[in-house]
Amino acid sequence: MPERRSAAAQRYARRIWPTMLSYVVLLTIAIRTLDSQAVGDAARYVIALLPAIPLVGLIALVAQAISTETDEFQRAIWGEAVLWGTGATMVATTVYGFLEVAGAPHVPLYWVFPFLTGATLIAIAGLRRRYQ
Amino acid sequence: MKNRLKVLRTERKWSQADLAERLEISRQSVNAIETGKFDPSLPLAFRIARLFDLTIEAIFEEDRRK
Repeated sequence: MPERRSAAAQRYARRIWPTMLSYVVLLTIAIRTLDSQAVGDAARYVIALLPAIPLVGLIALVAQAISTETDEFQRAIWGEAVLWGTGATMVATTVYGFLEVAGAPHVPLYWVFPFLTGATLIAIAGLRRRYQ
Repeated sequence: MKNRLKVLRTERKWSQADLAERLEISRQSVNAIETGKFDPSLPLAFRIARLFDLTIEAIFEEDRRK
């Protein structure tokens, strides 16, 4: 018997792929354009911001999925996972910030989001095991 | 919180998925509530009680040791 998926989870699953696809496309365009040095300084800022648009959309999708989830257990798990993910990200970025002062290699800020996503997904897996 | 959900469910020969369907929640939720790992909200507890035609206190028992 297939697992019942809530309307919120179905909506999220439907919208996540176009968002991720547009991110990959815009990121590729941005990297290629910035590498080619073909545009002026002002345009470079605009082009560099392009991949951020679908990322903001992704964050909004996750927020909407959690806030409209009618299954309270699933909502609790997601909420707790985001909390753990945010905590881990804050600890990692703050600690590494101090290490950078001591001379550790600089890590660009755009890595914060993939780190947060990874940490949240690990937390989800851990919480699912705990509640099994 | 301890509860008699599993007993009540098996008395009716329902699977966790059957109960989940009737309560319009996920099977994982039913499992987490049955094993006492997740306490349902008051509205969901009322829905569960209504489904079995019992009161909330007849299904859920307060864990006084906590």
